[in-house]
Amino acid sequence: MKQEMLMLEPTSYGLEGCSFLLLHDIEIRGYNAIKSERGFRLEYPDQAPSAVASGTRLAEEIKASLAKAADECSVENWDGYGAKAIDSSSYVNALYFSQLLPVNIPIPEIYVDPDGAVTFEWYVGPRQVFSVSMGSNNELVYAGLFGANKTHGTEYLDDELPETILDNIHRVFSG
Amino acid sequence: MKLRSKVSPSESLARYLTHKNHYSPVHNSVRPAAFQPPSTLRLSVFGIAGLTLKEVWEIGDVDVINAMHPPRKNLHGFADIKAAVVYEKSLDVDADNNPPRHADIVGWPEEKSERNLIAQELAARATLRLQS
Repeated sequence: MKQEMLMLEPTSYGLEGCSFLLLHDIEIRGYNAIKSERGFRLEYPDQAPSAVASGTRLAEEIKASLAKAADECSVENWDGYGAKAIDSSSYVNALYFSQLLPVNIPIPEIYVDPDGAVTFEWYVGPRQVFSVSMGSNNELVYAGLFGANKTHGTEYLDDELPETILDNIHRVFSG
Repeated sequence: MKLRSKVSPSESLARYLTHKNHYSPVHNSVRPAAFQPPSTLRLSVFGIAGLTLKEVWEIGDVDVINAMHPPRKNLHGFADIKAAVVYEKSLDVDADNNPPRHADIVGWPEEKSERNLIAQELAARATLRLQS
């Protein structure tokens, strides 16, 4: 792991060609890694072992989708209905959350909510859908429709993916 | 024509779709993002009962897209939903007729997870109409 470190002041910062406003100082350490003041650090190994290579690819695909969503929603009123620009804390949490996802789950759609929070959505059809929004204070706000059944609630982002979230992701694809 | 202050359950409402995340062309369906309310918790819709499809599109062009602050968005389509579905979810339709036929879906719960679930349910009950 390279140990280069760059400290950035709160400013408009380009990540993979996408500009958005960072509200906190952010530390870049090593290759492709982000650490926020709130203590999250995301690091991708320079040489991923083959056993986790597919996981790395999943993370990279999610990261690319996330960057695209951030680009599209980097300004206020991006939807014409008064939506807030993407929230930088939610963006960082989304990156961290993506690292917790198992490698064998389908890649979610990623978009930004009208309140600026990043949402991961697994959409099989109108009545087979599950979403997780990265809220403030490390909240994972989830909701799902599974045929006639439904669920919603809040979990907290920690060092493991909450079981409720994982179970519901599987539930979308088992209907 | 104005909306009555109490919108009839049988009346159709149009939620204009201004972002590609609002619908799924693959499933020919409206996606939950189309019904997620903004921070004001007032989701903008128009009553379209008795209008031709051409008139519905005109409202979208004139009262939604042209009324936006630049840069304006594209009008991808609209979600067609009965007011009855909105009432079933314990929401209300607040007709302000500004512009004519405009209303807001109001009465959203405080919990975001509950709002997201309602958005999923409304989307599941809506019909997608895309610009041809």
